[in-house]
Amino acid sequence: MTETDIIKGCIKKNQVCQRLLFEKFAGKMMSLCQRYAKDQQEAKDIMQEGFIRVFDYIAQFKFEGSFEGWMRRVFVSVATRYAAKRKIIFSEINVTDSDINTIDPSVVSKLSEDEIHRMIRLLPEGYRLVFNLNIIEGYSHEEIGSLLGIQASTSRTQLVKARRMLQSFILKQFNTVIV
Amino acid sequence: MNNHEFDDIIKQKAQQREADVPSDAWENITGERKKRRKPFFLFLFLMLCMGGLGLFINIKIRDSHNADLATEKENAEKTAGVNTDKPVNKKSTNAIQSTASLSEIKKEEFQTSENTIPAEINLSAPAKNLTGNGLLKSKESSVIIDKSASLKSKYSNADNNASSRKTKHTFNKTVDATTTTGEAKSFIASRKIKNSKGAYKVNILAGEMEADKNANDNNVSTLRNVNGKTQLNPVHIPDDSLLVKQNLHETVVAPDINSSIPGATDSATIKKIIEPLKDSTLKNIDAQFAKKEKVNNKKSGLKIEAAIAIVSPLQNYTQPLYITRTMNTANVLADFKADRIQSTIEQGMGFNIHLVKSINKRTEAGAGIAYLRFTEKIHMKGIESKTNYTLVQRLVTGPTGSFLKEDTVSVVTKDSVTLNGRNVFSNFSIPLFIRYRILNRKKWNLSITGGINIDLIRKYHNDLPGKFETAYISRTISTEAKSNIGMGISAGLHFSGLLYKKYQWLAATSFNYNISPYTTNLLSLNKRIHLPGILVGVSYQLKK
Repeated sequence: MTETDIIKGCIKKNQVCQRLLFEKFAGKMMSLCQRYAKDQQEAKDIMQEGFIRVFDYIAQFKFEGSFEGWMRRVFVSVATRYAAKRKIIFSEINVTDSDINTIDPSVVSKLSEDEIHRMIRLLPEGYRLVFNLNIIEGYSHEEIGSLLGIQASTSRTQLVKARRMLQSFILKQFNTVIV
Repeated sequence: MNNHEFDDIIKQKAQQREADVPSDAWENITGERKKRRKPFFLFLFLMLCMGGLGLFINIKIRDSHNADLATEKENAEKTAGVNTDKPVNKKSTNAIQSTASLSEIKKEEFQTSENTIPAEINLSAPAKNLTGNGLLKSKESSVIIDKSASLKSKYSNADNNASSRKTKHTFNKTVDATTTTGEAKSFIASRKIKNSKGAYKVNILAGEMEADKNANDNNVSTLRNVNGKTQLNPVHIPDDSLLVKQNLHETVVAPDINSSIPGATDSATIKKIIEPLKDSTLKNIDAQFAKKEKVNNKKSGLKIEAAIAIVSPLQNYTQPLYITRTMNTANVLADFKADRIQSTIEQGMGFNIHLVKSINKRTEAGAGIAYLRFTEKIHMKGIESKTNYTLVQRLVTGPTGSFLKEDTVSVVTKDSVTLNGRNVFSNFSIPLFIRYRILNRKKWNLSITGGINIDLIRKYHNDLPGKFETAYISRTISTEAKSNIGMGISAGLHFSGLLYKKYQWLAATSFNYNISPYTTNLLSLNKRIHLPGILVGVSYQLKK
C-alpha cells in the first residue's frame, strides 16, 4: 500500500489506513513533539492531539506536496499552541565559550541523532522553540514572532544564542576545539 | 564551520530521528476521537430531549386546560339549568334577581355586579420565561497559524542577521516571471493574481538550489526558502485549511521536478534547472488559479428553497385584571366580566420561500418570505349579568277607575359564564438569515442558522363575538383585533443533502424568539409568541 493509498483511505475514515499512517509517521512525529514539549507527558499529549487533527483535516491535503511536510505543519501548530499556553520567558543566557565558531563539521556529523536531540532538549525553552521553528522547521523569524507572540528581532537574538549554546554543548560533549 | 553548515547537519539529524512511540498511543488517539464525538451527539441528544420535554409540557398543559374547560363548562351548564328553573338568592354565586310577582312590579335599575366580583388575578400563565438561547459549542480553531504576514516576510524580507544568513539576497518583483531578472544565484519572481477573494501572490524563489535529501516520497515538490536557500522541500498549504489563512503567499508547485533532484551547487546548474521551470511552472500556476477561480465562482451560487413549517408556539403573557364585554340585542343587555382569562397557543403551519446565496464556501446568506398561521384557544371565566326587558301591561287603578298601562319589566340574571373561543393569528414575515456550515459530510451537511424575522403583517381574527374591553394600567382599551408589525430573532440547525441533480432536501429546526410583543389583541397583555418549529422542504440550485 503506497502512501497515497493510505492517505486516500484516511480521507475515507478507514481505520486500517489510519493505523498504517500512524505507524508510518508516529516515530518521527513523536520526536518532533519531544523537541517542543516540556516533558514526556506533554509530548504524548501533543502527539495525540496532532494525530487527531491530522485525521480530522486530512481531506484538506491536496496531494500537491510532501505529506510529511503537511503533517509536520499540523504538529508544529499544535505544539506551539501548547507552548503558548505556558508562559515562556525569552530570556538571554550568556554563553562563555568564545571559540565555538571553530567547531569542526566532522565533530557534529559524528553525533548521533539521539545525542543531538538530547542537546536540543537541554536548551532553555525559549531558545529551543525558536531553534526548532527556524532551523528545523524552516519558519521565518516573522512567522515565529506571530506564532509565539514575540518580536522578530527577539526571535533572531534567541536563535543566535540558542545556536551558540548548542555548539557549546557539543564542544563540551567532545571536549574538542579545532582551530 | 559556519553556522549554515552547522544548521543543516542539525536539521538533518533532528528530522531523521524517530523516537519510541508509547505503546498506548494509538489506543489513546482512537479513544480520544470517540470522546470528542460524544459532546456533539450529547448536544443533539439534549436538544431533542429539551424539544420533547417542551412539547410534552405543552401538550400536558393543554390537556389539563381542556379538562378544566370541560369541568367548568359542565358546571356552567348545570348552573344555567338551575337559573332558568328557579331563581336563587343573590348571595349565591349564581345569583338571580327577579321580581316576585307582577302586581308588585316596579321598575328596577339595572344593577351592576361589580361589588360581587372578586378582584382576583390568576397569574398562572401556561408559558413563562421563554428564552431560547441556542447553545452551540463553537468549533475550536486551535491550529490557526497566521501566515498572512509571516509567509510574506519569509520570502520577501532579507534577513539582516548577516551572521546567520549567508545568501539572503532576495528581490521581490510583481511582474511576469518571464521578465524576471536577478542575481546569478538567486531570484524571485512573483505574480499577483486577483480573484474574487482578493489578491493571491505567488512567489517563485530560487536561490542556491540543493536537493532535499530528506524528501522521502516522490510527490510533486514545492520550492521553499530555508536559511537563504531554496530547497525542494515540499510543504503544502491547504487551500481552505484551518491551518492557514488564504490571502497569503503560496508555495509554488513545480510538477516537473521531483524531490529527488540531485544536489546542484553551481549557479550554471541552477539556471539550467530554473530556466525551464519558469514557463511550465507559471502555466501550472495559471491553471491552478483558473481552477481556484472556478471553485470560487462555484461558491457564489444561488438557490431557492421552499419549505413547509410546522411550529409549536410558546408564549408568555400577562393576564389582564379583567375583561368586559357588553352585548346589546333587541330585548337583552348582557354584561360579561371575566376575571380569569387563559390563552393557549396551538400548533400552526406555514410555508417559507427563501433565496439563498453563498458568501463563501461555508457561509450562506438568505432572505425570503414566510407565512404562518396558528390558533389561540381563549378561555374566559366570569360573571354575566343579563337584563331582559319585557313589555307588559299593568293594571293601574286611578281616580277615574282602573286601566291598563304599558310598562317595561326588566329581569336581571347573573350567571357564571365560561367563554371559549379559537382565534387565529396569521403572520406574514420576511426572514433574513446567515448560515454557517459546521459539518460537511458526503451525503449531508449541517449548518447553524441565525437571523431575524420581520413580521410585516400580524393579523388576528377574533372568534368571540362582541366588543371586549380590558383594564390596562389606568385605562380601558379595546381588545378589537388589529394588525401590527413585529420582529423576532431566530436561530437553528439546518440539515441538507443532495436529492437529485440540482435538487436538495432540507430539514431544519429553528427557534424564533419574539422581541416585540403582539398587540393585535389585548385579551392577554404583553403577549410574546415564540416559535420553535421544524421546516422540511427542497431547494433548487438556480446558479452555480
